[in-house]
Amino acid sequence: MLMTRRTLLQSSMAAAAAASFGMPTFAQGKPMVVNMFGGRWENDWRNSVLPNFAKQINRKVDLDIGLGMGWVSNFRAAGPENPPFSVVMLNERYTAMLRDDGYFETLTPELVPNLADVIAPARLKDDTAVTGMLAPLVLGYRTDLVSEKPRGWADLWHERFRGQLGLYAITNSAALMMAMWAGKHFGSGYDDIDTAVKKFQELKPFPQLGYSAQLTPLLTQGQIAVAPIDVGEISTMQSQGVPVDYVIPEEGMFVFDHSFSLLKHGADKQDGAKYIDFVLSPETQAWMAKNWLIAPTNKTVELPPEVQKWPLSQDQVSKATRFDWTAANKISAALSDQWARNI
Amino acid sequence: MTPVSEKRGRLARISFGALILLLYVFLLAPLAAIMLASFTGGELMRVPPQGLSLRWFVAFFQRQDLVDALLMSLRVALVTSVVTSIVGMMAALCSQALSRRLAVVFQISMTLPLLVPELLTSIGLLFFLYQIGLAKTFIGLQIGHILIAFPYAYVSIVAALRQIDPAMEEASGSLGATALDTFRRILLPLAAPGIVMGAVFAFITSFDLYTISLLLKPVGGNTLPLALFDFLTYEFRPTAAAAATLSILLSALGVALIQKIVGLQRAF
Repeated sequence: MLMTRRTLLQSSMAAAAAASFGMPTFAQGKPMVVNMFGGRWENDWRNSVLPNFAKQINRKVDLDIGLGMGWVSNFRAAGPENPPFSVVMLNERYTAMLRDDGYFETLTPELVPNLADVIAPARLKDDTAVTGMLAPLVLGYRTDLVSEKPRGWADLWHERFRGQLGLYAITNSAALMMAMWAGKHFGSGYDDIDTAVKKFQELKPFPQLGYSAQLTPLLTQGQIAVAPIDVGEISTMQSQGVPVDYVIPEEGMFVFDHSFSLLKHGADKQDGAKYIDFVLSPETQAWMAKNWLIAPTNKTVELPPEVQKWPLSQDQVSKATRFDWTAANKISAALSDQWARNI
Repeated sequence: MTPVSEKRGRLARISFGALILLLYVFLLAPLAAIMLASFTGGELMRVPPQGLSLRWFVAFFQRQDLVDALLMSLRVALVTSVVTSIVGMMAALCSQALSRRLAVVFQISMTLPLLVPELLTSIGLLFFLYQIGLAKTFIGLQIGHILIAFPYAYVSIVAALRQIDPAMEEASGSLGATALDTFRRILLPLAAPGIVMGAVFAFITSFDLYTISLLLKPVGGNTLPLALFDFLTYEFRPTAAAAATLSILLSALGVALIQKIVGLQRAF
């Protein structure tokens, strides 16, 4: 048959329409959807971890890449009755938002057998979420640029580090943790944002960066000498020969809590629970410790020898300062506003 | 002209020239810096580069997530430019046919996506797409891009149509041509520069969109701006500069395309 422009156009439109309206036909074979951060997280998860899970449930697994606020916007637009995925990984700051909106199922050892082996601080808010990825936040410093290493968070205010600090922008949960800590340490409590902002004003001027990886070039080039940073970045810099080291702050390190939750009205709840169980499994937890310097939350995991110099042990993680993110979210708007005006 | 006024005139021309030069430097310096940084042989994104190398371009093409994102951005931008050109042409013709007062209202409504902040459009669209079951699909993302890029194509085509003498349409009709013939043989060729320019603008706009893609992107897919932001968030290496250089070259290719097909002077 001779294909004219008209027939080509007609058949293309018919194909497009069929593709659009025919989607429900494939619903039965729909892949399961899980989410992850982008960049190296995506690559590693997609190539090294997810294939094992797909094999376990004998089903294709799609990865949705994004950031906390994007996922929260989607879940809120969809509503609790119609969540876009059945299982979600979020920074606890964002998990708290959806938890308060009633999105999550309570996790039980029947649904998620590995939950029984999880350390107590990782079981969050009546088991509506469980920390599956716990990244320690420590104080990093340039060994060649500071005369005396910092000992704790309070040392950031020491005269010897004036003009040498790099900090997170207030949009990052690390800055929120720092501000809440400062409110409690120097003022009346975690919600004392006036004191917190006043104290950080004393440190001006300092560069404010959105993410840990953006602090790394400044430390590497010696533009800053001290910064709160996650240990993964310290490890990367050390492997590149940058004279950098870290201390666990004497007041207690902070942690980035990436928690996993099951959606109460998710369509794939059964596989969602299996996914959380898979993430908490000793194998996956050990893999994350080895490759990402993520502290295992499963207490049966033995840390590989090559990562034992990092603060990933149960004991160290259990002593970390934790924050109530529901309370944090209540003050974050006012804090951001004051921070923006004064810092 | 007295020697004094001649001297003043020369001084004014030199000052104006210097101002224009400064303006160009201000506009082009970030592009030049990122392009220079992409050729660094070192580990860090910095200017001047530490040695010269193409290693970060190789690194870019070795990253499946970035290459996939580039391909998705190209695909979305291509569909956006085709659809906005067709719909923009239809809307521009409609605008021509309306009375002057109605045409003003029509034009404002057609350019509304430019007046409303992209974030608000994205959130509104996100709720709408969940209602109709197209959220987190490629079609949903495509609709968002078309919506945002449409005014660029529309404005460009309207401007091109306005330059066509109405007498040519009348002459075509009086010589027995059908409306379709007049469209194909008169309007389309004469409006071509505006259509091409609108398509290129729509393509570039779509290729750069961040906010709307962040909220509407499909499961398993990422556009290049999102992937680059993720990359810079977690890695901050010169691979991102290589991607930026490729994007700049792509935009330059678009402008060269306009020049080749219709000529920049005709287009503007």
